[in-house]
Amino acid sequence: MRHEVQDNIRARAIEWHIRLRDGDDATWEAFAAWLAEDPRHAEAYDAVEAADQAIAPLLPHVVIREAANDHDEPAQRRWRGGLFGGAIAASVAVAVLLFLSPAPSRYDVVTASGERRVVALDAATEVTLNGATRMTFDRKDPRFASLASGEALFRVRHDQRNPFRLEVGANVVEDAGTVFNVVHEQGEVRVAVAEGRIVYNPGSRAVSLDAGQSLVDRGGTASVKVTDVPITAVGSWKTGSLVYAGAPLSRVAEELSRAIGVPVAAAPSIAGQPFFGTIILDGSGAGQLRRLGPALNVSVEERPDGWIMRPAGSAAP
Amino acid sequence: MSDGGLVSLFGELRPALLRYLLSRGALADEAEDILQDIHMKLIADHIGPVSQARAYLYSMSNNHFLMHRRTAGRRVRREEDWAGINGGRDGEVDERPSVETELIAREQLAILQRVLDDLPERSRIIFRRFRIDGEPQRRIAEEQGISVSAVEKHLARAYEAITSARLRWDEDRLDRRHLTGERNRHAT
Repeated sequence: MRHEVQDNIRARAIEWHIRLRDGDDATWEAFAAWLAEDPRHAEAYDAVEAADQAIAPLLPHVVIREAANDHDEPAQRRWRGGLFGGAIAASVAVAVLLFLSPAPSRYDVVTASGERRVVALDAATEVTLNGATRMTFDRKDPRFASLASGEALFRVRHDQRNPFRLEVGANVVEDAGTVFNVVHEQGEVRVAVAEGRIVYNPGSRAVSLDAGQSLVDRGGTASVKVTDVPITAVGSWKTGSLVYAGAPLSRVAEELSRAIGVPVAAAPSIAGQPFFGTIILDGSGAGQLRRLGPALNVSVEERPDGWIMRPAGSAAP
Repeated sequence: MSDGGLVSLFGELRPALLRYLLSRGALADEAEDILQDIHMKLIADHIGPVSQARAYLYSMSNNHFLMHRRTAGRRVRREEDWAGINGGRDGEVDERPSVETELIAREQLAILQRVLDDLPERSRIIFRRFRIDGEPQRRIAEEQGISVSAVEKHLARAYEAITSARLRWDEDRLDRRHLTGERNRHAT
């Protein structure tokens, strides 16, 4: 009887622990209330959290086994291409070495929309974060960075023996002496190179990109698309200009909202419409959006939840 | 952009955060220290506005609480027989694992590996995506073509197995410390 109650509390504690990792305001507040209800709640949560913390240094060394043939649940398996399958196979190949991981030396840098920050990793390596961007760096490893979401411009000191590696979701960008720009948004990765060369996903699926080229990786099975890009356009947001050669309006909207700091979206009917031209941000913020309408051939309206671009002439007065 | 919003929200939320820390088991003065640390950090670091600001402050309090407890735990252990395990020298934590910590880690790794191997394959893979790859549940649900609550059930199963294994291991270790020399009793 008593055990039953305890098991129940444990099950709740586990649920909380899982939800809290990406928990929002309401989740945390409900959790605080639950903890305060009964001292046994805190005790149970402690045990779950402690177990999860204890495995942290071990996780890099475990092998996640996956059946050799995956036909046991064919209808429900939806691996996106070979991406994760490959990653798992690779981890199986890694020998189980054992040393305790050093204290975590990673740290996050987050910018708000409209905000910009420069992070210097060493004297000749500098990362400029555009607005609404989240990155992770490592105090002990200046040759590592990870772009969780958003956009950043990289100016990287080249060292052939110790290349700079940027993780973008499950992908890797490895430099070969470089200025390059990376966007990571909604599962899509875009890389553009202004100087030097980078290698995207070194290994069998490697794509090498020279100055004046850009790539789009929509993830999954879609192949990586490489196109030319004007070198001056790469990372031009840093100096307040956005250069486009046929980018869809949805992307123009996305980049405007990152640069100005207010939500901007393109209506579905025109989201795919291409735009050629340069937008010079004049620093007037949202006020500039309305004036941009004619140049973009759209009408720009303010809504309670942000700005929206709609087909020109369709706007209600 | 200023982080004034976060600092003033922290001021408003302070009593609630204090209650939270106390219910997590922090002592009153320890909780005050933790909140003071957080306050200083919020002022010093320029953290941009965050979307779920209260969640952010709660989770920051939780992290600081864990750090505090880890430091305190290390102090206590040094005074007990763990000192030998941790490499011995007072006041210093040896970064290189001693042979004994390495044995302990090896044993823990073997247990964790077995726990994961015993899980249904799907739970194991979902656990990997969540805990090792750090993917949010929503994304995992999309990949697997199942609902978020189904993902949560798989994760709960994995955490249940891990937590039980950990508690069993702790109990065993306590037993073994009483039975000196019986180190290999539960070894695989």
